Amino acid sequence: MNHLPFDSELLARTIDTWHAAHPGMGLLALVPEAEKDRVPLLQQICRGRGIALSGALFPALVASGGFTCQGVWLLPLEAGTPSVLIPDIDADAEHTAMRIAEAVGQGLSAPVLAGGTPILYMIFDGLIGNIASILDALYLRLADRVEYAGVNAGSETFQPMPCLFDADRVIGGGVLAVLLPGACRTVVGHGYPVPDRVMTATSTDGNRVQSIDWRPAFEVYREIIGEEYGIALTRENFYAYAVHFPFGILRAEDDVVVRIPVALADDGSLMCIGEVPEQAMLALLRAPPPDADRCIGRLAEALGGGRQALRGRDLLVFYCAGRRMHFGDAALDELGALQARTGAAAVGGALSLGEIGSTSAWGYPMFHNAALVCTPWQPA
Amino acid sequence: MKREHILSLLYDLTLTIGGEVRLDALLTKVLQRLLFHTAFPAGVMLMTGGEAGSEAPGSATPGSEAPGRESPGRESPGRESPGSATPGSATPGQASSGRVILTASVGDHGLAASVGQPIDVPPSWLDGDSALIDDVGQAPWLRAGSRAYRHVLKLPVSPEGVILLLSPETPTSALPLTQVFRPVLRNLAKAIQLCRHSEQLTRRLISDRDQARSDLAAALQRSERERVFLRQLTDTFPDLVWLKDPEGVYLACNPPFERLYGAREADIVGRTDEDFVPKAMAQAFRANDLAALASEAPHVNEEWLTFASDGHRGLFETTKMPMRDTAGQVLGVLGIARDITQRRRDEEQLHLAASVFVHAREGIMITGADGTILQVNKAFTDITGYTRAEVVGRNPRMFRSGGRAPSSMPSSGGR
Repeated sequence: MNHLPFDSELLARTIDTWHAAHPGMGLLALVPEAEKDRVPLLQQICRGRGIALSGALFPALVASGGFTCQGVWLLPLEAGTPSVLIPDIDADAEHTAMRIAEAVGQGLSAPVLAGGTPILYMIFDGLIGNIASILDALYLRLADRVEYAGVNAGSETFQPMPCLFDADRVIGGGVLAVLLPGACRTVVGHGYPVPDRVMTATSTDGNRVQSIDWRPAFEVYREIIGEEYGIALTRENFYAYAVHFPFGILRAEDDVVVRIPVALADDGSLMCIGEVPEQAMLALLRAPPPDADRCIGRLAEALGGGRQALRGRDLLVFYCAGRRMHFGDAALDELGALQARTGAAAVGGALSLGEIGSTSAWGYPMFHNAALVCTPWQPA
Repeated sequence: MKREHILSLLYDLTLTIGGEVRLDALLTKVLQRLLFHTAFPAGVMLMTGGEAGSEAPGSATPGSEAPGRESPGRESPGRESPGSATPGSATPGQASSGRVILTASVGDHGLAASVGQPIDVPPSWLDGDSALIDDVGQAPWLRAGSRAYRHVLKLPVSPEGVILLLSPETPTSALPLTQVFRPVLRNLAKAIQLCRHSEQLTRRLISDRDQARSDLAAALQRSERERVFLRQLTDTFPDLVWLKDPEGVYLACNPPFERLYGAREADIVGRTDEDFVPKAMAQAFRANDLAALASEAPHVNEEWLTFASDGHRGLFETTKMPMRDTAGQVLGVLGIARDITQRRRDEEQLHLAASVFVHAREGIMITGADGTILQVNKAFTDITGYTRAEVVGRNPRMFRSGGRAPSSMPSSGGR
């Protein structure tokens, strides 16, 4: 995987070199939102060479131990890697799961995936509001035939933006699904501790929390944050503070599934990335202080079972945009610690607007916020 | 916090259990939530007893099969059928295996393909308390798939069966998983029974509904046949036919009637006579209608009608009779009008001819085609001296036989 500037000659030369060494290869491209106008250039280069291109736009890239809004990550995919761009996802999660399962179903027998359970890596448009339900339905269809991983792409402003592309199209409201070899086993973690305070989301509609403890959601949210943390929450400063005080859906695994409220609707309901089940008992989380052992240590352990387990390999990392906002500069420390503990040659990826995977090996696939998604990259 | 934490899990599961009325959906969603909470990758519901087989979700309500379910019998490569993985059903140290039905499966494609099939498990897995089982040697089917499951969280749902959560790795949880779910599992057993009853009731209702639909369809078909027959009959009938409700509002009419009012049936239905004819005439029609309604026998009258379609006028014999349903309730007045203009003219002509015959001063004899005398008038008897009885039925040759000499030969009406 290479982080390159959007220089047409350099891009063409690099791609030509890879293509000569790996005829039939595909490319996965991660592009920062600020460079979205350069996507046609990348498409033109790939179309001209008959290279299967898949990619997405993200708020920023993870590169060189930090975050950048320039350049592009190009990840070569082995020849014959199944990849499909599915547009126009509707609100019916069952139907969406059926479309994804049908689209990737034939690819499961691709020779490139032989030798292990493939990873179904999905990049959704971040504005799709029912990804957790889609995952539930997809797990009923595909079960253990794949492992599940992925992220949300899009703009951190949460404004609609076509953010998924192949060599011919740039679309919004869809999903890009890529089947990766089993060697790219993905782990997800966030390190948020189980909190003390629990409340009930008494009225929800998908990813919209309308009332908490039978009162308007924002009223309660503002009250609790004011009482417990002394912060005067307003509509204007909502997102800036909400990233520090997300909701958590409790699990028996001594874990929470994080939901960061990202917008405040006119009716006082709180919009999250990812659904909140109706009548779910929510915990109000206080995002943790940087603690490399709690999150990064566990991720590194899950990635290889010991220090330097990825020595010489690259690590694809998606880092939640809300988490970066919460941690500030400490986010860079987490990235540094991750590279140091895994021994990865390069850590590259993007800021994500939602994360997909299980926090334990083989576990039930879930949709997270505030998490890191780490995939040891298999060179083409 | 641990207490609130556990309560929140139970709360979530209780809502899930209480939110379903179909067994298939109930078991699938409960398994999904258990997997969500525990991070086990797969789970199955095994049902005991004779009802398990007959009530296996997916077969209970056609069309309600869970997404991704494949029909029983199809197996994934590399996995044995669960039942076939325990030949003889007996294992060392175990008196026998318990045979149950694999009723629901989430997270394992091979097991999902075997839903509805019998499966063998150690009897100890079917009763007793919740337990975390690390020795799965007695259920070799757990090791046959893509994931070799080594750990089973047994969650009894007595008396319906047992939920098994399956994991290839040692589960980690700060909560006592074998204890946490007990309260809701009791509720789940009741919910399973309620779903089963609900599905039986639903099946009965569906059966009744289908029978009623079938009966209705047959009745409608019969009714439609009769309607078409009657429609064709009235449409081809030369007489005017119409039906009014008891208030005098037209309900139907045939094409000859349409010509009377110069309007299509669709424009006549819903209106009264006052919309088409002068008020006095309409009142007369209405009076006849009421007379018909008041009478058990048909009410007949003659009336001259002028057709709006072409202006022609005719004498009609109108018959009106009350129309009743099977309960005797009056539906309206059925009217039939027959054009008798020509018949009346013919009658008048006959009447005129008869008058000439009777009153003529010439003797007139009418004979049939064979020459037999059919009738003679009074002048004939006066002239010939024969009585009517003497000549009717005889041949005119009798007048040449030298009988009474007629003063003159009468004129003959026949050949």
